[in-house]
Amino acid sequence: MHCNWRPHVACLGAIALTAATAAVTAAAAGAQTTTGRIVGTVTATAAGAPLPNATVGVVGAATPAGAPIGARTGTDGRYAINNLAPGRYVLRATLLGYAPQVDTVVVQGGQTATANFDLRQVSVALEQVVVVGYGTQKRSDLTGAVTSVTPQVERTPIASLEQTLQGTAPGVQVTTASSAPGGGISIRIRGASSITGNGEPLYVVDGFPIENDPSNTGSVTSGGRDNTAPANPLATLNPSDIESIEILKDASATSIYGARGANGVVIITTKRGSTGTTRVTVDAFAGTQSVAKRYDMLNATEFANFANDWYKTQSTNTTGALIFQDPNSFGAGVDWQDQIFRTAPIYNLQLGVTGGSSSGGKNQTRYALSGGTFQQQGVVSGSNFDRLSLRGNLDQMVGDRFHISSNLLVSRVDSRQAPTDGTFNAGAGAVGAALQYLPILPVRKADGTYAFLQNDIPSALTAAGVSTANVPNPVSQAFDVNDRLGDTRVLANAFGEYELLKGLRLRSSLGTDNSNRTRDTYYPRTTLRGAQSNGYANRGQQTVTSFLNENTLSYARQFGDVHDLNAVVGYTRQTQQTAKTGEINSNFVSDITGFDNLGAGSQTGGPTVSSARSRYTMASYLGRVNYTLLGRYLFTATGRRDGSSRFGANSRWGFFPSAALGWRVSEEPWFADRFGAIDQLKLRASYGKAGNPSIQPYQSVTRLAAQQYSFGGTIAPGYYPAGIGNADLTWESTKQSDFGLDYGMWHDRLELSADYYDKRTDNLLLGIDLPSEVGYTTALVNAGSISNRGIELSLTIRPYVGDDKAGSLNWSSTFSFARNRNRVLDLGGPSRIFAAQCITPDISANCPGTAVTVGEPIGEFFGYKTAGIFRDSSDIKAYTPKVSGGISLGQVRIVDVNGDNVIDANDRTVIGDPNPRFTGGWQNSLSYKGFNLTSLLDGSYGGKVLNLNLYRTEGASPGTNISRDRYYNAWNATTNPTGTEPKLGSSPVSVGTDLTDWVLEDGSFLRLRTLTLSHTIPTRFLGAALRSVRTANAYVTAQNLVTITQYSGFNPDVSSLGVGNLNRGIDIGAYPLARTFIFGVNVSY
Amino acid sequence: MIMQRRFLALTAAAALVAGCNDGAFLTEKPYDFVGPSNFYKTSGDALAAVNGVYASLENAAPGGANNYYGRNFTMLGEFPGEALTVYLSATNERSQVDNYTFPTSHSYIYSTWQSAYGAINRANAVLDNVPAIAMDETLKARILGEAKFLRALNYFNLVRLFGGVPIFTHETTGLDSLQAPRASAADVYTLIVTDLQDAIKVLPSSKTYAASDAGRASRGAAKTMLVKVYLHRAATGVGTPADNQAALDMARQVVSDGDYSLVSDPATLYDMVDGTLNERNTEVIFDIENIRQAGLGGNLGNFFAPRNSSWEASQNGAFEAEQPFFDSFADTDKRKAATFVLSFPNKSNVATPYLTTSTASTAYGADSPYLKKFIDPSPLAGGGSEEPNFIITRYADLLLMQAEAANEVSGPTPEAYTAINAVRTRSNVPNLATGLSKQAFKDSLFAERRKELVGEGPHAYFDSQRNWAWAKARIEANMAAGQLTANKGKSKYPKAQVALDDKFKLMPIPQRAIDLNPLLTQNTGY
Repeated sequence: MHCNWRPHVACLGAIALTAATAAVTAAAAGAQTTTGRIVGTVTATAAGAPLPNATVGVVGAATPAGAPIGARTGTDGRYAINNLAPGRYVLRATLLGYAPQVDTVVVQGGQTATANFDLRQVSVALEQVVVVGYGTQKRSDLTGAVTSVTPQVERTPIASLEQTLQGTAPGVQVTTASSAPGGGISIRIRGASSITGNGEPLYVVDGFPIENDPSNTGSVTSGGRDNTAPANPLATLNPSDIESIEILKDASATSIYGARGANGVVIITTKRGSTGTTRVTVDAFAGTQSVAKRYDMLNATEFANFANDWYKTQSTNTTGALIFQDPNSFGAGVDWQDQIFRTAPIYNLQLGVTGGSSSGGKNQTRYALSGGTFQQQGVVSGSNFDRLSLRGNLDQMVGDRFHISSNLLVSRVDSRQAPTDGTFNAGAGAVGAALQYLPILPVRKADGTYAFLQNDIPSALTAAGVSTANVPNPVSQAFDVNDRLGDTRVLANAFGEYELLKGLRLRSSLGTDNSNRTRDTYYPRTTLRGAQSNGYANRGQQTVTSFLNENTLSYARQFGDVHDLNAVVGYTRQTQQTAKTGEINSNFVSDITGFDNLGAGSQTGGPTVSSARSRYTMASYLGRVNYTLLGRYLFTATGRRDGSSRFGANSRWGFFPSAALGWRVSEEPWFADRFGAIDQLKLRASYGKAGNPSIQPYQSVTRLAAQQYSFGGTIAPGYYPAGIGNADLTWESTKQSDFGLDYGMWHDRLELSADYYDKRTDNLLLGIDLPSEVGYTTALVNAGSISNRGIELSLTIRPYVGDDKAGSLNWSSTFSFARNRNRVLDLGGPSRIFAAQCITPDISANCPGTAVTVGEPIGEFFGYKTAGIFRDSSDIKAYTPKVSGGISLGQVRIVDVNGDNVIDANDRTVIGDPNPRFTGGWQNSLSYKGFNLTSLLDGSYGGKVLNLNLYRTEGASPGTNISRDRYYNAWNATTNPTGTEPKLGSSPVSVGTDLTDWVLEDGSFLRLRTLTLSHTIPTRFLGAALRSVRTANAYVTAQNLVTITQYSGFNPDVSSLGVGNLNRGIDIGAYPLARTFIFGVNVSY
Repeated sequence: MIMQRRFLALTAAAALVAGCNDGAFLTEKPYDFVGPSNFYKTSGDALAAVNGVYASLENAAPGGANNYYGRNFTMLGEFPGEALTVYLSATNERSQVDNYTFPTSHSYIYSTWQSAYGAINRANAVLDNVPAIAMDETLKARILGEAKFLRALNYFNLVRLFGGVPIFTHETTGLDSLQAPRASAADVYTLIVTDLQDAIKVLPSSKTYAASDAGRASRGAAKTMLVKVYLHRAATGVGTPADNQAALDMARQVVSDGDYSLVSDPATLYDMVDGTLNERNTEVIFDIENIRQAGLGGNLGNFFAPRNSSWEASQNGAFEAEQPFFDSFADTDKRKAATFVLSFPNKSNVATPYLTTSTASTAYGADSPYLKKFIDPSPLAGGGSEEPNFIITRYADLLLMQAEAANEVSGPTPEAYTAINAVRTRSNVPNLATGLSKQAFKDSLFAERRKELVGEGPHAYFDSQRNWAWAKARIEANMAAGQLTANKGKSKYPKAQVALDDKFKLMPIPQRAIDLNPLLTQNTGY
């Protein structure tokens, strides 16, 4: 018996090997008596069809030479193992894509025993082919930490691809910066590893690397509004076009992307054709969305009561007078949230054709074409998002060695933004304004114009000393502000690959990513801003053009049964150019033409125009070797040398190596014998380096600034060196070690993948103060370090595994869990730095915002701590610190942090951390008789959210509306001495310009993100007209059905100020989360 | 093996073909901004570069108009004298300069340090980059001379304020070895003298400059500064008495060059309030040429203008004359009317007179005589756009320095008397009493400098350094009497009483500068 039955390389991972002890037994038995044999058939469970190429091995047996004993099935599914000594044998049948099966057979001398196997097709998690950078690998051969996600768009419709990552990929934290249609998102893989730089992963779409750096390419213009999250640049991709998403997490996986890999890599592969059949698919869904949760604000009568109660607390009101004599006369008044929220439809239609010629290997053609339209109206009136997308992928073999392939993705997005987020006063968005506007104000005044908070509040209020801010009317913001985003994106690439020798392939590719983005905004006179400037238009255009050339030489070959080598080397070049223009005009003749006729405006001093252009280039050498010894010892070494124009001249090139080891313990001969129930056990370890290029183009070079001077009364041009170059400026460098294990048992009924990682990022890009003798005061340098450590777990159990068509139950359940601990190790000198910007500039609150402190997590909130309110005189007596303005009953108690008996700026401290302690998800799929029920729960625990909406709604002056909780729980010496909220008129939310932790809330949540019931309609029900239908599937799905949270706002998963690492978890009038119900069908011909 | 060789050959070929010009491929090309790679190419670039050095005087970066001559440096130079004070409380940072209670962390001291070094780096950039430009050599030499003049001016400001400071003679282009120790004051002076001597060789006479080049450094400006440098080096003990002779020789050269002369009416130099400015006149040797345009105008008028007057861009009024100084002017001295505001329009344009007899502290804005110098009576909103030029030095200063130098060399010679009396006569002041001792002549000369040059320059603090005992006595007397006598008892805030320790001959090295560069040592006494 020799090992000629050994399967080809693809099956190597599934082979069960033998142990020496058993070999001795077998050899001894063989010497005694005549041998017997075992024969049988291996078939597939569902179809009953014979399975060729399956391996049937004798567990624990080996030839005297040490080779395993077994056989392989022929085309008829039959196998035979001869020359077996009489005895009891454990057989194990394996085949790629099927669960292994074990049987016990007794062989008697000279006889033939029979053992048939009926293999069940499995999810092939361990055997699936995984796309890694510049190649693919079988999951079983992976040494790195790679999570694969296959979007089940047919069953869980989504608007944008990042939604497929929410709750399904451990260690991948998806934050919704804005819940608006097409709104910004932020992804952190294994925590934040930069302070000022970009934290988003690198995206690779069909091999084309795309840096998603909001500060570089994210925003066209602000549309005249500050403080808002940029739109989601990935929204141009149609999720239905995506075949798979791979997330590369550890250094072994990411270092092939070198200087851009440190934040992790998301590889997106679009659908391709398959040979043999032409398949037409139609996916369609329609649904309805509504605001999932609202703020519980006072109605008009309650507000009038509140105003009266407030007035009684005012020292100017010595007589106990009322502002409103008859609060009930106001009735319910205007519910401003009702005015701007709506139930909104969502539609999607996608048509696809895939197919190919099946002329064997030669001159084969495969293609995939699709077109789709997606339309979503937002739950805030005035917002919508439309996407048209077109995709064409073609693969052509010329002969059997030359492969030509092309991908084309074209999409057009048109969206209208309702101004949300923003700030509080004049810059408030519709949502922030709706929370502030008084319910006693009408939407429009008698003359038909909008009522404004500052000018139109009842005189009784102003007479009582109530002052109001100049907040725009929410309805005018939502309906009248015309804020349009457009994006035309063309992503195209093509490659030719020639097989020079067996296993040696030379590939050359060309690709381009073109994005043409516009943002056009017009504020008509009906809006506050438009009224101030007689119409205000702001247009911006941005073109980003990226070109890529990649040349790789790859080699894959198996040497005998022992060595398996897979290597790639390559050289790539990429350039990206960004050009922007912008025009602003105001003082328009009329609002009729809006931003479409900028010439109709006559801004004082002329229109504001601007333009900018930048370009960067990258050249890279890369290489990777995967080597597998005996199918169980895995080695990977990767290196990439990246040169980038963005790095300083002295440090233009960086080298990013990594190495990894894997041990497939379950393939050891001794293992299967002892641990028969375990299908798979692999241990992995990796260490390596990757970079984050965070540096914007030209940041390393000296800049000269223009400054005029006058001589003899005439103006002369002047230039001076305004910023110092730093020729040493370079990437942020992340070193990461990862230890992981993959485990499967009971025939795939349990699968576990676990990773521990330890990342340290050095050379953080930071601004430092220079000795000003050198002529400059600051410079951008590489200094500082940050650490991220954590664990990731993914556990899948399949309590019921059956064929649902046959009427048996199938249940699969996957838990994912991730915990990351972020810690700033060094800031290049200072022990604490602050985010430069005030969070809310127009009310000067919470400057400087968030803090970065050595030894603490990044982006912590900074301000005053509170400890309840002063309820009685004993509370006041017990409180010794001096407070500016004194203290009184019913007021919030500020904690004297440094214990010096004075409440001042030195008592400001870290009040909360936006980083969650852990995140997790739970996916379930239950199918029975063609019905399938899937659910996804995801959650986050321990992160804090700075809910700045409370700054107004908890402020308790009748200048804005307040929440019911604030009003009815307000402390009052006589009517509510046990009240938990401060007395009316006393604001707990700030001390001076700094916020208190009163506005800080626990952002933990558990959300039933999707719940879907689908039914595969048996084709026999479809009737003669639809005979050609191959599959038909109908489903209903509910998104965001239930959220369990303590958070009082719309959505704890929020980041109004965008996606940076210093301003996460802040809610200022954020776009509310929508609850969505969708009905859809997928039909395939 | 064949396969392996092919593999290697292909790999090598691919790397070679692609990799041969990575360097050029990765070089950044600026498009929408000016960088060293697309600048310093033409004579226009060279001019723009040196213009950028001038621009740092008034609108210094970082920080803008307030940081250098536009406010902070002028306050540091003028408040410590006994002529000017400020109404603000004793702990205000302006009062701290007036009272000699400034901490080492004083923001004006640090911003002046930063501004002067910013200007030096700009000048160094010109000196490093312009020589390689192919252009008219005469113009190139002039531009380099201007840059040296401006570098000398800034080092002179630093050495007068702080003593020895770190010397940088090349543009900072990298972040290596940025921390430099203090050079000796003598070394700083050597650099200044060398720069000025180089500048004198190539700079044209102010008369040969085109009208549209008025305000550029001229031969006379460099010579005049060199006079002051020599005098200062000798008087502060850094140089030798030979410096006084060198100063005298240089002053005589300026006189004999004949580029400058006194104007007949001092009011035309700086009184835009009641008179007509005669800018770019024959007396001006070096000034900042302001025009009434944002970013290109003066910034000091806003601080010189009386509080609550319509001449302020914002309510700032800070330079008030101290009463004894105001009283020291004879009524017949033309400079009295030309220098002081005795009535101003308030915000409602109601004339508000200075009440010489009032002792009330309620006459907000009218409690002190203010200076007319540099006030633009029709300022643009926002400030920083005042019309009057800021005179750094003029011929009267040169004549007084000639007198000073002559007196230092050989006592009050006829040459010394002639020079000082020329300045007095112009303002209808009788000739100085003859027969004075050397020290008495010197004291009279410095009193004359105060009256003639108050608010300009700045001069006061630096003049005090050259005649310390005289200045110390006058300043301490004002302090001892407190603000009560200094300003007729109308001060709302008692002023600090500080003994004028000799440490005050220099300002402290800014604390923040020491924090960022531990090689810097603090001046004695701070």
